[in-house]
Amino acid sequence: MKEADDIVTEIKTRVPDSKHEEAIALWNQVLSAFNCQSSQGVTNVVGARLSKLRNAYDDAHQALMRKMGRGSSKQ
Amino acid sequence: MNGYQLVKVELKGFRGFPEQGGTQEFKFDEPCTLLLGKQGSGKSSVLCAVEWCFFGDRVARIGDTGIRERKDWLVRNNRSRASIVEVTLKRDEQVLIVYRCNRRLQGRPRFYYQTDGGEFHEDESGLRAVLGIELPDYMSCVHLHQEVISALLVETPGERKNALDRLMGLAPLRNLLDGIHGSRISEQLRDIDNQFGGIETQLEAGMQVKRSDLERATKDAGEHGIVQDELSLGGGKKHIGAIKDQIQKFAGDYGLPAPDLPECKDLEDMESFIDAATAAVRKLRNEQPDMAHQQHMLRRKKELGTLKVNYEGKKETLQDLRTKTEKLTNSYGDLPELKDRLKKVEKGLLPEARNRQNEISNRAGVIREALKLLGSPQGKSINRCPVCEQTISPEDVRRHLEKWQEEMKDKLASTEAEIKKLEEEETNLKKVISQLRQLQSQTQIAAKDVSESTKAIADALKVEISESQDPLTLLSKGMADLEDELEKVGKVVEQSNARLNSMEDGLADVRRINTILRIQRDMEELSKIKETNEYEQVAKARKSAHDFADLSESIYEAVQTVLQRNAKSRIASTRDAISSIFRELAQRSDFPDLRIDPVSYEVIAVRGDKSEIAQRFLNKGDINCAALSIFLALATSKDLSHNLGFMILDDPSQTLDSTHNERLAGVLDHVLGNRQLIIATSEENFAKELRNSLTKKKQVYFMRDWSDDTGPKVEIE
Repeated sequence: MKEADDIVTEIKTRVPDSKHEEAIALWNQVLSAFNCQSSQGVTNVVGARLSKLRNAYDDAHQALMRKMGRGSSKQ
Repeated sequence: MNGYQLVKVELKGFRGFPEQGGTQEFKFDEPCTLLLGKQGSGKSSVLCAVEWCFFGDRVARIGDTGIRERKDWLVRNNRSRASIVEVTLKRDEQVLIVYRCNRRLQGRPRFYYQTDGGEFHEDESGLRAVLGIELPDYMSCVHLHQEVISALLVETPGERKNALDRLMGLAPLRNLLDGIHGSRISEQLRDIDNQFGGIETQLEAGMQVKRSDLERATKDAGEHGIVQDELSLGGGKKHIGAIKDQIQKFAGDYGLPAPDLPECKDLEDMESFIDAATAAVRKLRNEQPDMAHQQHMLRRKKELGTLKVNYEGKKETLQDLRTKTEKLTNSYGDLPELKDRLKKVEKGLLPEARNRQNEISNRAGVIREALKLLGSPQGKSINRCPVCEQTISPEDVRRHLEKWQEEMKDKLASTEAEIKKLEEEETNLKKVISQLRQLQSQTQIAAKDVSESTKAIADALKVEISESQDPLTLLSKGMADLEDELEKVGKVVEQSNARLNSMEDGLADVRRINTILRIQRDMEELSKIKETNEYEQVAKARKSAHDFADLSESIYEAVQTVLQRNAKSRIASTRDAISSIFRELAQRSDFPDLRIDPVSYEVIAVRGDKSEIAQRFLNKGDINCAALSIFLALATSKDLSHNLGFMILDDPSQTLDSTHNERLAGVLDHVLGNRQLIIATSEENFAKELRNSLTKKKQVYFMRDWSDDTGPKVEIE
């Protein structure tokens, strides 16, 4: 994609310096998916990353819920 | 330097050209080449072959082309094994050959390009660098697809936007944005935020449950006499100390080993103590000697009771059999008598009676025969006795015989009655004898059972029982003694059980205190939940999701910004050219000019200060002119430079009337300068106008009679 460099420049203006590397890595992943499978590939890649984070959140949430409910079953 | 011009296209097995038809060659020797033929005659296949040869399978993907018709678009002709396209181009004196095949054939690479007969280059990006163009721009300013024009004519805003994107070469960026949008980041994030916000509510609900539990447990403790001061770890320990002492003393009193009970320092220890002490009390209850003695005696009581029931049953059975035997003997006599009588009947009386019966029957037979003789004609003449030779009267003889016959009948009846009676007696005697024998056998077994039961009682009581003694009386006495002893032991066991029950009551109180302390501890933990590692992990996971969403949003915005900037740039650089070409093509007096709004991304018709969205009032012919204007303006824009010196128009005149066709031919003639032009059309009028109005030299291919096996027949004019 010939606009890739312009997009990278734009990304850098939008994220803090500390996040540049992470943002560019994500962009490269998105671009690679787009080159292979077009928009569906992008949806899949972003969706998979998001799903992983969502699962991590759900696990942590469940652990917290278990802690909050502890003791009530021993009445 | 001029751009690359098409010299030759060779294709086989590509879309409408089956390999059975052989390699089809199209030469482009003149500045303008016309491909004429009806719809479906293979014109578009020739033009798309150039596109596929340059850019490969990307041209068959919607994401890269933005053309919906490209879904399930097959490159290979479905009757062919391989698709081969070779394009020859020339720029000044340099010859460029591009080759592509969907499979490796005869050792040749699937793709390569070659300059001036030099080495094969197999890198796709290298060719794009040589041509100076990427697929999106190729589609926006070199090859005008009929699908792009037809999409712009559609009135759905989304379709028009996509069509404009394709015309502007921005379809990939738009598709990339759609891909990010499709992952529904905001929905997931909203869901996480809602769940996170719900933690506070669940915390309060959990606390409420604990409050209720505490209230209930405190009330229960109060009802069992536990005072407020005891509802603490210290209070619990005090109870535990007392229970420990009770357990140790009980064990000592009964000479049992002292149970090993855990120390109680905290709440967890308290639970362990309750479990261990409960088990210890249960063990003491089972092992205390009086209890064991009581259990033993209870088992013995049960055993003696069983013996009593058993003996009584056996005895009753024996008595019953004896009564039945006596009854039969009284009625029929004893067994020897019955046997004698049976013998007498069987051997004497019955045979004797039967003999008598036979004798009478024989005599009666002789009399019957004599009477028969006397009744015959021959008998009537007899007057002498055949025995004594004395003279006799047949009539007297007959009367005498008849009298005898009557006497015989009486005797026979009497004898038959006697025999019948004897037979009945015989049957009855046999039956009674059988019954008596059976009773005799059963009585023997029952007597044996009684004897065994008596022995079992003697063994259980550990005494000798003589014939004169009643086992039941002895057994009853033994059981009465046992009851007395049981009563005494029961009192002792009751006292020790009271001590053990007191320990269990104490343990129940400790459990009540423990429950309250645990609820209090849980409430304290709940109140500090936000300081826990678990809460920190949830907050951290939520932040990670937000951070990722922020990064994705930044990428989305970056792509959007570049897309808008490129759109604006292209719109700005081609604004005058679009308007100029449209004015010449459409020649509308009400809205002569055309522009694209860089913000709303709409095609706008303009007259002075007035402007209207084009689709609202322009007819299809004018909108087709608008599409052509945008394409031709982009194709001739100096800002969009590339190294291709040709332009491909696939069926550009759809929905144009004859006037438009004439103007389009004129526009093409002067707008394109020295660009090589390849036009495919199925419309005869447009073809005629091109022949008449285009001043460029022309080469014309006719394509007709397309068939599955051989493709189209191609003729050169």
